[in-house]
Amino acid sequence: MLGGLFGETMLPVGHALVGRQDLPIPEWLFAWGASLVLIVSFVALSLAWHRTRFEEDRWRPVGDTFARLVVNPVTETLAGLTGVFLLGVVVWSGLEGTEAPDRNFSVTFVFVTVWLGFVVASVLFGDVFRAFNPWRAVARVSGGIFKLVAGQSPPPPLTYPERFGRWPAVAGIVAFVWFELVYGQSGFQTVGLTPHSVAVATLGYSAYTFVAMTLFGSERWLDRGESFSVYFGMFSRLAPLEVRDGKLGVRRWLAGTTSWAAVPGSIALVLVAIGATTFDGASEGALADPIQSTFEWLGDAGFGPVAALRTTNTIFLVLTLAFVAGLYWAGIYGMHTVKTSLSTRRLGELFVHAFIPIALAYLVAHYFSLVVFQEQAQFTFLLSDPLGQGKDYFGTASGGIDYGLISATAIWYVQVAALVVGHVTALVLGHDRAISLYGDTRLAARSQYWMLALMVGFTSLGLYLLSQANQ
Amino acid sequence: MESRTRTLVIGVAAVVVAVILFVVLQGSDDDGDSESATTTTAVEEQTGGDDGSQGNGGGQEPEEPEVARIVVRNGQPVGGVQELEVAKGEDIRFVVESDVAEEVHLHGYDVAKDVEAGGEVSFDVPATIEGVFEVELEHSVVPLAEITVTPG
Repeated sequence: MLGGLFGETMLPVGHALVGRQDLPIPEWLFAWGASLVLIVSFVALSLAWHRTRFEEDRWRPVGDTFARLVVNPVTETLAGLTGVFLLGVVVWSGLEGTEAPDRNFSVTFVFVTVWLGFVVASVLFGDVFRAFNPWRAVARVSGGIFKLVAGQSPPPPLTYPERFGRWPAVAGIVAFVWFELVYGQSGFQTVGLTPHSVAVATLGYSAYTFVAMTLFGSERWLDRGESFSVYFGMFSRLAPLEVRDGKLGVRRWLAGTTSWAAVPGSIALVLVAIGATTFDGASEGALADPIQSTFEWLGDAGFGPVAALRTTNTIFLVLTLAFVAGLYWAGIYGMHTVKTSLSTRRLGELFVHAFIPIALAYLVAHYFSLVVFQEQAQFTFLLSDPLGQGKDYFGTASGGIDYGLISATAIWYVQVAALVVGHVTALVLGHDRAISLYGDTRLAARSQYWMLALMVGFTSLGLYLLSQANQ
Repeated sequence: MESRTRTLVIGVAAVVVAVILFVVLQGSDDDGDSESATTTTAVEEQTGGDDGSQGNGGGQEPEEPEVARIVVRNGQPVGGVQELEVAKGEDIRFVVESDVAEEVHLHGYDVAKDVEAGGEVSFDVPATIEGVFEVELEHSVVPLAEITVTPG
């Protein structure tokens, strides 16, 4: 788990799935137990659910005073400034600070606080990343200056091609995941996710984003191409809060997802989110042996150790993503056989939003303990001594991580609970969509047996990964 | 509509009960099985992992834990990364014998000790935190062992 993030040699391993091999009940029972829960829930759903509940989000603005208190030009400016400032700290600490990744602000901040923290924040509070997005903030300021000088907004020189949909964001997320889990995988060597490379990647991505925003218009690019906006935006659709036209409003939980996936590339984004976590978990457990033997085989074939490791991990990352995609499309194809009036492709689009909770469940199951432990570092020594050079700005530099904060058993329960809740939520959304499509409840239920099988497949996979982790 | 809502509530309640039962049963099964699993792994380690010194490996009870010996030659652990397993409440005990001067770091517990070239250093740390922890040569970033601390 963690090794995927920081490399086996950088930080203590096994924050998350500690001692998983010692779980008393056999793994297959573990998987079947959870699957049974899903079947029960499915039966319950097909009994009780006859009219769609989530197809309309019923967004309505919340009371004026409160809404204006939370969302107003001052808070927006503050959030934007915070985002730009923290982006600067990442680059500064990455370039100037210690190369020990566990003592440098940049690595934990990017890969734990932002990458995982904003997922949690998005699910609870809606699209908060939008407010903090440093690239958006800079674009708004520069756009404003331009408007002041030229008297009008600059029209973007290019029209964003609609058929690209969210694909540029998908490509960006794959690149990020590759950087994190393949390039940054230290394995046997002192390479890994160095603060310096994190800073360089941040600068590179910022430059790329500014260019793209200039070409296509900043709002358009943030909507479609800016990977983090699109990724966190996906999770924010689960939340009951949304800002529309500058007004804060509430909507039904989960309902924001139902209209999300109409854009090309959305399926790929959900599957990449699931697949990346799958790879991270599997590379330290279920796939550890094949990865090891491929690595050795490439070494024998004349690759240097770093090249062999990165090539091996690239191959297995691609294989894992292909496996997750294959699993999804197989299930969708099965649904297609129930009622053939909708094409497999269309069905794939119509049901993929139901897998966003599964992507979330995978993230919680795999990274919960990492967040709990690593955020202690973030708010103690990484805060007061971001460069790892003995400073103590806020008097918290001597703090550390209390690994005793939660027991291994508690972590296990959180992991299993996350998967189970994620899948029940997925079933609710899948079933709701089936009713809106098929009207007739019986046909809806029959099509959903495939969906159920697919979701049970993902749960069992998730549990299997947990049962095999860090062995 | 109301009866449907009721069915739904009952359904959800059933799921919640099932999950709770599952977790509780899971928890109570825990102790019985895990001991035997732990013992087998431990025995394997003793025969396989202890390079030479005192690997008498005959399925002993964990009351007298073996002191694992990790031998470092040319800056690398002989026989690869060693795996050790102890239950919470016991002691993490191992000796590192090295042919290079280094600092041996037990992560998580954050215990670091210097070892001289040709010397050895021994660790005896109460296993208070559950999890998998790494022992590494701090400066060359070479992993030596993975210590698994299981819930007692």
